[in-house]
Amino acid sequence: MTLNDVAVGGSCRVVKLHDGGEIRRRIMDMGITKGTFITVDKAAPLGDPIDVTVRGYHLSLRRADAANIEVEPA
Amino acid sequence: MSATFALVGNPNSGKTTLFNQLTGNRQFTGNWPGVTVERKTGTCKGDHSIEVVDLPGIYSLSPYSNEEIVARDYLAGGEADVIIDIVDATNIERNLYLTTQLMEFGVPVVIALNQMDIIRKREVKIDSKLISETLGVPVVEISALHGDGIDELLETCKKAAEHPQAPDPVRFSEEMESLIEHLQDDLPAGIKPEMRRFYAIKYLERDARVIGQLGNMPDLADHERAVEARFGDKADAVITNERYNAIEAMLGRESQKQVNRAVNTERIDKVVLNRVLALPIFALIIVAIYYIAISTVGTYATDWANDGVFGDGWYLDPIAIVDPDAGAQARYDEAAGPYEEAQTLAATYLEAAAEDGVDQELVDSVAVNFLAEPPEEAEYALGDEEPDPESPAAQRALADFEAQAAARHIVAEYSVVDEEETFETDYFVYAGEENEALAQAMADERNEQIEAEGRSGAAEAVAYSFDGEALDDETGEAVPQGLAVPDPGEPQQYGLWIPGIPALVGPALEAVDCVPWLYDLIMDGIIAGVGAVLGFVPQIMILFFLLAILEGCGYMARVTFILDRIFRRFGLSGKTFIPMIVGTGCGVPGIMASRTIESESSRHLTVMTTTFMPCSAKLPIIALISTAVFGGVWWVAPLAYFMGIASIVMSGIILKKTKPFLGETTPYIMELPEYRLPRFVDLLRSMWDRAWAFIKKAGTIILLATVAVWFLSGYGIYEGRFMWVGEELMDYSFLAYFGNAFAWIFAPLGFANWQSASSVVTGLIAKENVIGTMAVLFGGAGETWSAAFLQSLGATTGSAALIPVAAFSFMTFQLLCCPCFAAMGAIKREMGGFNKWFWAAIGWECAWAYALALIIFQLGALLVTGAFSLWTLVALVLLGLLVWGLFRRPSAPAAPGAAVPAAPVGKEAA
Repeated sequence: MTLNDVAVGGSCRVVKLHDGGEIRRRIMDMGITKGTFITVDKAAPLGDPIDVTVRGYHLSLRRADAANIEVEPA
Repeated sequence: MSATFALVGNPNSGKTTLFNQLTGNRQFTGNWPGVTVERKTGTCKGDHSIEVVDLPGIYSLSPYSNEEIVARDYLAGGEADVIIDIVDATNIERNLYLTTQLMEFGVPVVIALNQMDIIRKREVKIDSKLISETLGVPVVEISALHGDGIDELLETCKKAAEHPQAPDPVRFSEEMESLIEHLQDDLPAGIKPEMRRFYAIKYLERDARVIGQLGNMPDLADHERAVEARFGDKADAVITNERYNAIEAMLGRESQKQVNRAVNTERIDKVVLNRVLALPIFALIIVAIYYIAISTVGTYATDWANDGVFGDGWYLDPIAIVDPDAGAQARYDEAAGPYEEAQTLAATYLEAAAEDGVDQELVDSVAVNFLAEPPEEAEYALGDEEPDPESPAAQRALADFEAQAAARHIVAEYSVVDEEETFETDYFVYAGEENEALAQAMADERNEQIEAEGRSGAAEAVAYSFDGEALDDETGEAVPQGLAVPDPGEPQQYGLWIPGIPALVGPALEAVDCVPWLYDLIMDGIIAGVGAVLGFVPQIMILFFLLAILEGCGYMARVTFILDRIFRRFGLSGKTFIPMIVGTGCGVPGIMASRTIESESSRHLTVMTTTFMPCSAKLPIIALISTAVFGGVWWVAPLAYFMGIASIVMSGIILKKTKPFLGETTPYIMELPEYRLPRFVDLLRSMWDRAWAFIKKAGTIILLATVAVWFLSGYGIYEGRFMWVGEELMDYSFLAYFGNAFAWIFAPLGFANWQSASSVVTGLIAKENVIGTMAVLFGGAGETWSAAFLQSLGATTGSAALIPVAAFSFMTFQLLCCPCFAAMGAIKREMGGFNKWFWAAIGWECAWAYALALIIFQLGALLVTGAFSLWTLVALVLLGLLVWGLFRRPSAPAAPGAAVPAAPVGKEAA
């Protein structure tokens, strides 16, 4: 299961970041690391990107990148 | 003591606000991540020996976008004596993540814990003492916005600079530490001891820039395998994880949940980011901003500036604000309206009579004797004869004129449109009682026609009357008619009248017997040209005020979120929107704002297209065309902005399919900051700073350009002699020769006159010059030069019906063609010199503007006149190319890297 599969309103815990190129590094810097608790708050009008809460702030990222973040339900 | 303090912190954590507090500067601040893209230096307010450096915001020290490289290179250079690490307390975990990296530079770190006022208001507990003790660096609680804790911060920093002590970096797990230690031994000897840990970690993280700097290093593969076996993850992930774990351990796991209580932000986002409402709300906000700035409040203010300050003058009249009908202007209009109308009516009738065969001599005599401002030809025809309506000769001429006009049954038609441009009154003017029935019949017929067409208007028959009285139907009193209506006199008699600048300067110059050429230079050159530009200051201030609200409140980042999906299609990122909006103020910071865009091809594309958005200097062009040609309808101004957006989008689609832009996908990851209510003083300050820059420019560059235009258009060579050519022979001026040399280029666009061509060139110096040049070339101070400009367009296109089309094409070209030199300089900097990228940008902008204006003019002409020419064919071919460019498949298959992320996206949309 990846972050992309989490429904709007749902939450999860990060298991692992798969290799997604350069942006993987940025995603980690933004605080999405192993064990981080994430809530999916909203999706943009056209369904993409999504808005998540991580470490107490709002972060928006694309679904393609969310698909590289492996999560487990929390 | 002299020292350098570097301000480092996450984007949007308040660095620039703190910088302004420390230095007393007024650098621009906003509420989105990435406001500062360059490093700025200032000296400390109370102590000029201390230098403060404001660096662009960064999330970490892995160089991901350009501004992060700027920050990191500066810190690695070792110039800073103290790092002031500004930490946003409302987002403390992620902010401290950067802190753990900053502590590895071997430079003293002082943490400025910002936004503590908000934290206290939300009744959250953040233990700054605990942070300080755990990390071993001083922590000062501040509020950069309110200026709290700034002195304490300075004192702490000074102490840290006097007794520099490298912080003890956060330690990782044992295995990691031994690996880092091992790598430190392998580093080249030239690296300073305190920096060795930093380089070892970056090397372990496979940071491409560091690997390039270090050169020959032992292979990492074995170490990486060991890390992977032990931690089940890559080294960089493990290190990041351990940093965050250390912060969590310090703050306690629940810390973030407490802080996250920005209830208002959640509420606003529920509406603003609502899946159905988000796009309409966005469109509404954009239309509202430009509509208010240009069409409503803005027009009101600009009218005042143009007709009042730079025109005849205006009333200082507080009553008029409450009740316009009771104001001095209304009283003056009440007296002046009928007077002017009677004068125009009489002049119209005289003209009609002359055309219909009444003796020209009689017409001229009546005009000179009875009209307040007779036509020049009539005055010339009568020679030096002094006008005297009472003289027997004048009375005789009047009687003869009346008899002739009546005998010929002359009825002149004269139409008046009211101020709101909604109601048209058609007068049928007749002479002699025997013609009343005829005029009435014509009026009746017109009334029927108006009714049949459903127009708003009325027709009536009016008695010819050059002097005389009529009895009022109700009161039975005699009311002056025709030219007997008294002159309203000077506006001063009706209230406190402030004369406009031309009305003040003109008589003053005359009083001191100013030499004619200097008089003309000041009145028709400087005041007309610079005044035409300054007249737009109110509109521009309103635009800047609204932009300041937009930039300060936190909505900008939301828009990137809303638009990313759309912009990605065009090879751009949602972040492209920020340069676009900043660019509507001025193109230079707009182009610079593109630095936050991570992908290089996307950034190039953004730099190439940002100036398609009309900047504030182009706003007068829009305002001119929308009022002079389209009667100030509400949609022209937003349309101009829409055209800018459409040009960016279409350029994106077309260029993304060409080789240099193929392949690379644009990443998008963006923090959505909390909404903030911008402080009113900050809004005013931001508005004023930018408006002042505009005014300063008008007083320097625009002034010089206007004087040059005036000289070049005033002097020329006529019949082989160098001479003053003036208004009559302006077509022989130097500027005319110059403009004519390439005016032909614009022939297919519908504005081949030398004046327009010259304004394209002066516009390169600054876009305000377009209007300034026009004002000088087409009229003097306070005159309605826009009408003369439109007339000249009619003359070049050979048809009055084509004027609106040519004017629209003119606006399109001027808005989209390559920007002013200052913006070109910014493009050069962002592209890295006068390289192929720079020329590609300039070339694309010019070609795009030319093609679009050509299509608009030629197809518009085809619709209006039905005439088909070779150029119509060219326009159709260009349109075809445009459509092909938009819809063709990319010339080569996209690189595999691009195809992969695209796939799930497509699935989502379906």
